[in-house]
Amino acid sequence: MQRGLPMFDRAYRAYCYWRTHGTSALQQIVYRKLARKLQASSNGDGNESEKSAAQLCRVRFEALAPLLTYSIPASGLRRVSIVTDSVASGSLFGGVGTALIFSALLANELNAQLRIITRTERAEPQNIDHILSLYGVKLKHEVQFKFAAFFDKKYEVDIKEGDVFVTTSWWTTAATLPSVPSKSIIYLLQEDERMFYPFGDDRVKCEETLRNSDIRFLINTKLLFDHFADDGLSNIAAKGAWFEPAFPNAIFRPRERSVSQKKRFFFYARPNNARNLFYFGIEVIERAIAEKILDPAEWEICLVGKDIPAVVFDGGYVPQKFENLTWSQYADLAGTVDVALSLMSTPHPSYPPLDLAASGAVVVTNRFGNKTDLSGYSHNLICADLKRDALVEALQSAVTLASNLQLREQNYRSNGLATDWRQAFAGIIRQLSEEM
Amino acid sequence: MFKVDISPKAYSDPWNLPLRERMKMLTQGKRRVAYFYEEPNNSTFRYRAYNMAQVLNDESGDVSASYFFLCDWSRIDEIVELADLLVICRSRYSHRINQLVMKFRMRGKRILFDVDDLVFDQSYAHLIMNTLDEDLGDPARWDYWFSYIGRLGATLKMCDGAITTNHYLADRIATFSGLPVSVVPNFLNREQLDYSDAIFEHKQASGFARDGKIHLGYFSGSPSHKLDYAIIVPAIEALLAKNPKIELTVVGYIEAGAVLSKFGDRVKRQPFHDYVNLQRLISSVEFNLMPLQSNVFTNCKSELKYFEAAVVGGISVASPSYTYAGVIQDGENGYLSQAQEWLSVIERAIEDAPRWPALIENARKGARSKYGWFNQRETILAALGLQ
Repeated sequence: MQRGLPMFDRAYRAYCYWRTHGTSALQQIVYRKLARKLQASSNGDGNESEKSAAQLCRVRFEALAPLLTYSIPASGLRRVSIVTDSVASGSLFGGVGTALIFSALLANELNAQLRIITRTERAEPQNIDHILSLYGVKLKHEVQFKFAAFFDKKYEVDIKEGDVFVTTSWWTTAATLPSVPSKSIIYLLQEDERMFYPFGDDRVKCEETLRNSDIRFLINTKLLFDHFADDGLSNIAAKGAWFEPAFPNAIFRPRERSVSQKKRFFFYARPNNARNLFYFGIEVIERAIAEKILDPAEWEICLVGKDIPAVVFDGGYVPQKFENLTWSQYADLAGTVDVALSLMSTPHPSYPPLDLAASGAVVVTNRFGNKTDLSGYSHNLICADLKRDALVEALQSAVTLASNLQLREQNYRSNGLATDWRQAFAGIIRQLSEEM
Repeated sequence: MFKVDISPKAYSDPWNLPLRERMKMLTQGKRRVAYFYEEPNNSTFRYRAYNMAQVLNDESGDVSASYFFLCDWSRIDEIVELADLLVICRSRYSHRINQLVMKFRMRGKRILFDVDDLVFDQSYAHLIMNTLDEDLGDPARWDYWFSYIGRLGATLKMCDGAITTNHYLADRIATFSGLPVSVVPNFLNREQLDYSDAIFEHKQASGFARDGKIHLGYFSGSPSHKLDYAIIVPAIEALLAKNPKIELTVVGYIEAGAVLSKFGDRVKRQPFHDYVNLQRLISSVEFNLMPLQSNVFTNCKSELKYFEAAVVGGISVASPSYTYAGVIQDGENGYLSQAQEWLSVIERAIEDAPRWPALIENARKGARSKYGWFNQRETILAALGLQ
């Protein structure tokens, strides 16, 4: 046991690590720590030896281990390298998918090669093929894959003049900064990542990265950009750029349903992602059922996400659970939803409410900071205060709107959501290709 | 798997000839080319010296050629006297190389350097070591590679010109050395092509008969392709899991990988084969997989794996490196797969089964014509400046 570190603190750290890096990375870190302990005990030195401040910090912030780079002569094609934890199928959609599409389009614009540098697990190349095909992105040049595990001291990443690095989190940015020219880094920031943590060391380090004035920032949504600007991140306000995500019709669209089927209610249920407010959400649903806003005789209630506990709602109603869906299963389901509740206790609208609105559903989500009104994306998106009664009331409005098929359809048709990633990134990619 | 019921061929290295015979070969023509290699081997020496000499000696004309090694040094002055032109193939600088060059130069005879890899410019040593998965923590490996590359670069710079396998590599040689560079592709020699023709005709006569399985083959002549092979492992794992008719054969020095062990005897391992009988093995698989990491070093590689498969009716699926992308027209005489596409490209290739006979015939015809020994003479003579 590590002295001076209470069990609860260690468990909480493990939880934070798992939340940001995923199950596979957590497993690996546990194995590595066990191996280290076994080796130490076989060497007879246990944990008795004193460690320097730098050593302690290195162990505590292992994921920040700088990329091990070496230079090669400038020749041939330029490269756009995306630095991310993983491109496993479970982590490829949402933010990582967006980063991949951006990097692929930037690579094509620069006539460069796309390189995918992963830090927690080896890439599954076919996942990249799948997502790029799904979004109709055809790369001009072959993808390079590099597994640069933060716990491995042997791998190396070659760099050459003209390389561009797209980082996807504060920790991949912090790991890339010491190893490549700062001006070559574009930090694709898709959430206020400080909100992943309580007020502690992680948050301080995250904030430090967010305040870096030597790198470029590209922010997912103007809403999030404004949040950072309002929050005093003058570097982002001055040098950052933003984009609005796209929801291609080929993926997100209403699906045919049988008229005899019940209406479908969707709740984005991820109890282990605290900012998705699972427990708050089921209280809201419980009340909506009790108030007959969601009558189980008329509504099929679907909890969609991961690690969903068994739950019984008012009147003994057991909801349908949909867990670990593939992307196509998720999109197919989204296209059959009438009303959704998707909560996100951060300034970013997050993807699920937008996915669902793009698929024809009426969606209720919560307000947070400057996230007060999302009708610019869709009039089928209803924002309510983060209070139970306000959200229940919003659900009532959503149910009413969903039943008004003409208005719902009209709102859907006039959605303000972009449908083409090329257009979504066109301006910023043109600007970057001139600058870099 | 294709049904290839043809006997293995008794094999011995055809270049193992006494020096007197090799001297005699050299003196058959009026203009004589001496190829020099440190010691014979089955790969670079065969393609860049033995095959060249075989073509030049084929027609009773005024050009003849032979090959010599460091072990022939005791009679080097005779060789220098007899030869009109020296081609030093991928040989490391040493006092002997310097002496050899000087002997030819003092007699006003030209010296060319032939190299088939990006192994002469030390600024790429680090990249090469990473590409070949060398142990970077071992100082001896650094010493080896910097010495090896530096010595080849030094020999190259002593020569009057260079010959290589493709234009991409030629550009790198020219940039490094400032020398004029010609291209002679690797090609199939007579023994290899004769046996390959027999195999192909056998397959053709049987209507390209197969058993019910689909075999993927990975053929490697050295253990240095570990990271290249790693590119295709996830796709192979997915294919084997999806389709019980698919099997994998790994031939040479590469291990199939622990992740594929769960597929039991559907993953087969074969030892290294001599280059003639290797053709029989290649001919039995439907798909010859040729992944390469994508970088400047691998872009310099030749297309030999492609034509070795094409002439025996194997369908190649290859990374789009410079040479592979140059020779393969996707879906016409093989398939090109970017690193992220292996699963979908192999699946597409399998679905293409009705078109296999046409694709195989097309690939074989093109490979025979472009890479058969009988069509190389003019190119070689031009590179040697002997037209």
